[in-house]
Amino acid sequence: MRIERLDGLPADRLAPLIAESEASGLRFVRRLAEEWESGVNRFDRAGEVLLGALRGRRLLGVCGLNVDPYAGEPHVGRVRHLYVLTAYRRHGVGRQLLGAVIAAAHGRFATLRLSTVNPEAARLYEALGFRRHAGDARCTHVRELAPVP
Amino acid sequence: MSGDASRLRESYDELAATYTERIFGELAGKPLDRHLLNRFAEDLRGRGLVADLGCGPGHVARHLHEQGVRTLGIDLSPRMIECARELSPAIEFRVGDMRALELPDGALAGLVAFYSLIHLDEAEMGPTLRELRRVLAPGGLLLIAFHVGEETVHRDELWGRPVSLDFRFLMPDRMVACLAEAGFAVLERVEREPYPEVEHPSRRCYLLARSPADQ
Repeated sequence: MRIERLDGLPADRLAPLIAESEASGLRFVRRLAEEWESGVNRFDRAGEVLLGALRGRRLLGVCGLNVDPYAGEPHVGRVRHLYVLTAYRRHGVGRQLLGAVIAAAHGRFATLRLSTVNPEAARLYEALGFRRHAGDARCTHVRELAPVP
Repeated sequence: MSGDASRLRESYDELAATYTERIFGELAGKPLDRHLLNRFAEDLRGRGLVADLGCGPGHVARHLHEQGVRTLGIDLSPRMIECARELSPAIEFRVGDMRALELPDGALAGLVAFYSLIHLDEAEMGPTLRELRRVLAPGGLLLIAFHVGEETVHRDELWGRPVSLDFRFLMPDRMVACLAEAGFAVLERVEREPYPEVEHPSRRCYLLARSPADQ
């Protein structure tokens, strides 16, 4: 498996992720595709990135990094749209994607924020240095990035 | 450092390869840093040895060396020193602790410490600055760089590696006072905004100070 930056939206390869996530009631992968199509969010502002986990041509998971639209300042990044195909969970795919997003955020952002209601995802975020943040539905987890140098 | 240099050493040993890969070329994207180092080198060229404290992979030492300054790189991390030696074999690099330098009094014409004082805890700042003054020759120059702020960022993990690091942001007024207390005269204070896409988005401060002419 390899982690790659997705510079164009691989609509055909994203289709299985959209289908599976929608079947379990999650809308955010479709929203990712729609917002890319419409140009609302193409992960193309300073510091932003959309990463995919690939095996051969198959897309196993995605994770995005945006400038946080709710923070009101450009040095806060927002981790978004982390989704891994069910069959590939518990194999470290999400961990690698998130690790790569955090690595990409170094030197660009001072803080990362995100919002999740999924306990499994929350455990992964907390394992990779995010701490819980209470009292803000738009931000359940926060992680500072090291100033190196 | 919280009195525990081994955590800092082990952390940078752990990071050495990735840090070198990511940071060694960073001055290419930092024109003000180059400018300040060039001016520093101009003042010190031909005046004796200049040490780079917390040199990491040695990119600052290398820059000064390329400006014709006789340079010595010192870092707490043996792995980092190995990386530095490999990249710049013409420069001397040593493992050492800035809090207790193995150098005679007045041995150096100049000292540069870029983002290394940030790992000292509050109680260590004064004694360390006095140690830097001890190894500087009368009238010697010290150039330091740090992140402006009041927060401390602690990390247990960096670039996928287990570490235990505290990054202390520092307030320029407070650092000017600390330098004065340690006997330095602050000559220049420069602040700038972070370079986007190049570095951590923190405001930066550079202080140039001189040790007293007669000690």
